[in-house]
Amino acid sequence: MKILEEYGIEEDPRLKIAFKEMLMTFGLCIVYSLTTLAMDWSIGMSKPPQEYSYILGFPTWFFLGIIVCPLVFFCVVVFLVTRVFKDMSLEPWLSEKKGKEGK
Amino acid sequence: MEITYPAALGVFFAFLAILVGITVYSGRIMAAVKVDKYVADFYTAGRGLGAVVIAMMIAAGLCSAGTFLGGPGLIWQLGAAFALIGVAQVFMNFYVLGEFGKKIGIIARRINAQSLVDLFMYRYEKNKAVVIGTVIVMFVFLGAYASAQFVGGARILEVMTGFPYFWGLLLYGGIVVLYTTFGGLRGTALAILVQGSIMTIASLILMFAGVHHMGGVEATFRTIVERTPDFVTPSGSAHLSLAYIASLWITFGLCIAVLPHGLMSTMVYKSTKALHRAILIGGGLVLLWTIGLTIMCGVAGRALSPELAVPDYNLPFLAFASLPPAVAGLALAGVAGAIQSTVGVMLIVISSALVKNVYSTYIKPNASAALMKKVTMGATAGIGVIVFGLAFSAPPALEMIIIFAIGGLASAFFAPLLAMYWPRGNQYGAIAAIFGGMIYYIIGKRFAPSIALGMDPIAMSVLLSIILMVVVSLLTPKPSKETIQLFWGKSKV
Repeated sequence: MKILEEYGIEEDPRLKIAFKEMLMTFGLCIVYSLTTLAMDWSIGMSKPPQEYSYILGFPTWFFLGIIVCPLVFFCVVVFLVTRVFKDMSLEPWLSEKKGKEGK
Repeated sequence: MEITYPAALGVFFAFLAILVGITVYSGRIMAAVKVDKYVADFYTAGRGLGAVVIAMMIAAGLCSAGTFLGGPGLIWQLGAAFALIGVAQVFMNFYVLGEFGKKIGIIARRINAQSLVDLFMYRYEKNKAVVIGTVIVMFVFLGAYASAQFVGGARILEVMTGFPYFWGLLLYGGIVVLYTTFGGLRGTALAILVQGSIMTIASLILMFAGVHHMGGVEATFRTIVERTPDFVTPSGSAHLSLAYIASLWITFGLCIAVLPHGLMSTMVYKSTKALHRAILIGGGLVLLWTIGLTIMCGVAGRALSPELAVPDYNLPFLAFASLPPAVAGLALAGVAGAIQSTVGVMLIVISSALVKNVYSTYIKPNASAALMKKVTMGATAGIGVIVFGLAFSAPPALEMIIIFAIGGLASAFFAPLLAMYWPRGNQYGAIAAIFGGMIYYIIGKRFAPSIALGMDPIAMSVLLSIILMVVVSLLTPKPSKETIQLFWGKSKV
């Protein structure tokens, strides 16, 4: 953010938070992708389909990867959104020079 | 023509009748809007949309015929590999809103943005090449995407009920054009509520009925393993490579956040509370639709029908085999809802780009409010008719066109959108990224697959577009102070 200093611009704290939340979202997206792909591929390709074992009627890799994994990560999403993500005002500008202080 | 399953067709028409009601109702609301506020209200619905509408707008807007028709079709064709690809999309609401919701929500209120094009226009110093490139990419890829949707829906209606393709297309395509033209985003949002609900009901019923019809979950899988064992492996009956599957995870996971019709929601939600709740509601909906409908019905359909003329028939065949015709009609309505909700938002997005960013910026900057109202409605109807006309030449596999369209849109827009968070990015970087990414993707997809290194070209084209954005920006002057103030600053100067 060197460029903001050069121009002498004070960053909007809400947009700073937005940036952090963007990084968290990207992070979760990448962890979810890697976990699911790696787990499913390593379990599912380890033996021929005729020898698959089943959990609740699903082949093991299918149950873990297609049903459990998305649900577990959904819990992480719920945690992030309810506990970590911040509420903020959507007023265009925080402090208008002429009027009174924004929210 | 010979109509089979009149009861199913009846349910389908009842669903269309509700949408006609919405057209009339929202048309009345829009008719009461003052003429000078008309255009802004038409495209943003006063930026006051709540959690449920926003959740459904993203979920039903991004889950199209791909989730309800093409997905089960590809599972039938490629095997469980496509189930593994399908779960990439389940957090689409989180990706769209978590990555861009707050930033775009605030900036859109600063610059009064109606679409992605507005954002790019202000972020990239009102550069003409950026605006024109963005509009072209949106028009070409969203147009192809939207028209593929109509095709899929009308064809299914014809196959399942004997209702002629032409009239099917005219009927429910026509309704989309009507409610977008007369109701703007308000009509579209109301329709999405109905469509999303039908999609949810259809998913719930079909998931249980389909699997039950095949004798339960384990029996379904064992039936398939006996016939085609490879179907149930992560690599599937088509023996897809891990690299190829990973590249489609990029398409449906990482890149789904940058589609213009999904991003529409980030400009029109009313509060961050609504935004957070929309992530949770949307997550639940997409989980149900993807795992319950696309994946479980796709697998059950494969167990039911080892032979199909066209893979996309998988889901409707399962519906009519496992349910009484009137209830199976709900499945047809669910498919239609998935299609219409997507096309509706797309029409609004394309129309906004043409009216605000092309017409009122370059063609007639000082048009009167009354004229703008006419242009807005005319352009929306016109685009609907064009998309609709394209649908009369039917492409073969629906999902492939969707993958192509997402790829093209993401290749062009991923890097310029990320630079909403990178102050040093400038218009020259954006031009290089938009055109470079798109051209590389089209070449890799259509003419020289070898440059994609065994994957869908999306991975390479997004990477290339990010590199172009960074390198070209660093070699050219930094953005103006006004732009930085607008996109990062705390107070108006």
